[in-house]
Amino acid sequence: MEATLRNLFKIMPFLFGIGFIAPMIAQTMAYWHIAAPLGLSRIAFGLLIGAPWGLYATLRGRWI
Amino acid sequence: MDLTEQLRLDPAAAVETLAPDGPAIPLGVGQGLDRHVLLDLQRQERAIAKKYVVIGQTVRWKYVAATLAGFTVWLSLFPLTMLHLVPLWAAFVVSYLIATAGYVTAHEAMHSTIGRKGSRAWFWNELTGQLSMIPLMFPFSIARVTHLQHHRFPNDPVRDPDYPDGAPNLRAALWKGWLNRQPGKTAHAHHIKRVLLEEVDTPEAKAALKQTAIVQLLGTLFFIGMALAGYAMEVAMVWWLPRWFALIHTHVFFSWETHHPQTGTGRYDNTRIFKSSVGSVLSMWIEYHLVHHLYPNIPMHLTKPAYFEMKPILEARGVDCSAH
Repeated sequence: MEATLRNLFKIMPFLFGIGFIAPMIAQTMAYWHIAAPLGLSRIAFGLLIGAPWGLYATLRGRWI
Repeated sequence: MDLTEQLRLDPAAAVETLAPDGPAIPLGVGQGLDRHVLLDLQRQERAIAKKYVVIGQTVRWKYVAATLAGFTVWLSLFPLTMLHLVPLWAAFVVSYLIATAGYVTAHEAMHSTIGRKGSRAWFWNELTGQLSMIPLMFPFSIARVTHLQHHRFPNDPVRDPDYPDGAPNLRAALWKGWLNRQPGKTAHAHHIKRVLLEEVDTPEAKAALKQTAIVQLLGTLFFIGMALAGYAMEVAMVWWLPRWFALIHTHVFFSWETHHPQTGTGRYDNTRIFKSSVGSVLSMWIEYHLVHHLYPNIPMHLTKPAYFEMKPILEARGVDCSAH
């Protein structure tokens, strides 16, 4: 249980990037009526930013 | 130059330094004071402290009322923003203020000033502590155990859980506030974990660490759940962002600024009397922090009048009271 939790915390920034940052970007764009570029859906665009950003935070240990 | 030396070099001038109603041998300040004088100062200091502790007991319900009101408002911000009844920017400001002020009410509970264990008020003390810390997503249990450890060893690099808040200036402290909350090696959490496991090493400390992991996991899952349900902006502006700002605020203005430059570890020099960068209101009257470390049972909002009453005594001890 403890090991599972520890591993979960290790990848938490990545999960947060996918599960929170991506929908937040999509919903913010919808709120301001901004269309996603390159014919992408807003959530796809959000994932395109949220997933690598979360991965970066997981690997680097810092969001910025 | 002491009086003996002064008398040897210039007896007339030395005699003039003696006030007509003063002691035969003038006393120095701080370290130069005689043991009996120090004891007398301590007695005077304690009498003032006792007076404010007693006053605090009569107004402790205010902290409970403020917590219940603040938590109700904070909780209501979720449906109010979801129903577009409150603008997101306003929700952010209110939530940030409640989360920041929540640390102050929780802080009273950490020192059990609302109710001692075993008393009837203990329930309200614990409720105040628990509810106040929810907007910060930081369990009351770990806040209490780390804060009491901080009081035991202020400014100790190894034993003070707040030591990583140290920085040379305000700009660096704000940056440190950000770095300390990052998921990697710079995280303040690593230092806290080590202090609790190696220095405190009590069942309460270990339980607090577990509770922290669970609370932070559940909190993150709540953020994700709300975002997937279509309320990402609402949860971001009501909880996620205000929490970030409030955590940095509390660490910079309640911890860094109060103990800067973290050099003293003695009773009268481990913290200070200062003018806060954010003013008295936003610093929640923490500018009289020395009084709090001397007498943690005096409620925070009473440290100001207690300080002004103690000021001549503290000055006699050599404490720098020039800020107020």
